[in-house]
Amino acid sequence: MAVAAALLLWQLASVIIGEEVLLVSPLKVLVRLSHLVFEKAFYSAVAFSFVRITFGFVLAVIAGCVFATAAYRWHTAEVFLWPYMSVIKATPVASFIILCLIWLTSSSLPIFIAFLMALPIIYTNVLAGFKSTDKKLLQMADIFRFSFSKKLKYIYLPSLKPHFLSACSVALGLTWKAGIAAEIIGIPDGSMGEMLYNAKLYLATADLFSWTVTIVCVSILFEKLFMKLINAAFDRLEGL
Amino acid sequence: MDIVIKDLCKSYGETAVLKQLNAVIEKGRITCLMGQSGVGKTTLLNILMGFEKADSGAVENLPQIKAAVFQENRLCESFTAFTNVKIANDSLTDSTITAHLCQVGLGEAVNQKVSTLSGGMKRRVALVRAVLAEKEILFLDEPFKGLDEDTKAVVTQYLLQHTKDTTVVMVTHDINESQSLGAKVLYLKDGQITV
Repeated sequence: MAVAAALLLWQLASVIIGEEVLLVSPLKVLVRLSHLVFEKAFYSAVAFSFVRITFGFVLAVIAGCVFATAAYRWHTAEVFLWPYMSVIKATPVASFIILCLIWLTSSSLPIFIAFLMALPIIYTNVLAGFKSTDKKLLQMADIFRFSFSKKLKYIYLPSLKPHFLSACSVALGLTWKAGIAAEIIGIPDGSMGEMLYNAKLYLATADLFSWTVTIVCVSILFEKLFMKLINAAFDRLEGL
Repeated sequence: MDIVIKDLCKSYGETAVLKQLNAVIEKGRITCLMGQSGVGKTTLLNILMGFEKADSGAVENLPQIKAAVFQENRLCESFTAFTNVKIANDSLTDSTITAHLCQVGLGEAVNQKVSTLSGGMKRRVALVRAVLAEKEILFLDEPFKGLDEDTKAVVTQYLLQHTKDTTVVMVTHDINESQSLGAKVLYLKDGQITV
């Protein structure tokens, strides 16, 4: 209902403005999108960006968890990591993109940018999860002589779960935004960012909207799928 | 060998809780620590469990393999009652765990997540976990807390049956609880054992 209302509002606005270059109608976008999905280049562009952004995100999840574990275990590691995480969090993504263009190829840029955007979110939340672990449960584990793997499974993972899930949810949205932004600036051949850049260059507003809709859909679908997988993994662990 | 507590002192800031406390906890017997609230029963228990350090004094012959029922249940809430007992002792068979849970009236709750159980049920899961864990000494901090009279009677029988020849240190406010377990009673007052 809300989506239908929003589409209707969009259609109305485009009719009132009456200039397709400024605001194309949703119907036109749908028509353009229905043409795009029959083009091979559409799927290769989606695959190009999807693989790179996902790879960057997965790397950030692994690194974030490893760093957070180290920071929880050794306070020195937390102190040592603090300036890096603070700088990454505070620096505008465009600065990183331009700087990284000097160091990296344009096709590897979205991987690195997605990694940088997700890393501090995963790190901060997983560390918060570790720190919020019930100390009394850890005392109980010591009394009953739990091994490290038992502590991890029965005490740490349940404590980390909500923090990790919310971190992934936030980071996923951000990696897509930043990854595509990196592609628009770096313009790697055959990426969704390049398609968006070309749409802007040729004032093809219908293309611009179609690609934007595609990015939003792919991003949401991936987030839903990834969150389901992570939830299933946690459930499986709890059931073992 | 009996556990010998010698000249144990513990203060929190300016407040002295244990003042050169001396006591003997007999091996293979249930010993109850009694006294008014805030007198230092849990502090003494925490020192014996190794969670806190005494300012001075010594505890001799303290066994190293411990099990405990804490004042709060300290269960892994997202796991089942069965799993909570199993993780304290991997060598237990499934049938043993189920039989013990049934004995304290938790037959229906064996495979239920602890988070879905009532306070009294959680207390019994914590008790079974401690009783079935490998141990040389068992600490019970108000083990009957939150149990109704009927359940208390069931749990008392359960403890009597399964803690024979086990050194047990129990904190309680209720003299009837210590009597029903046939326990030796140590009264704490002004940071010392008075009886």
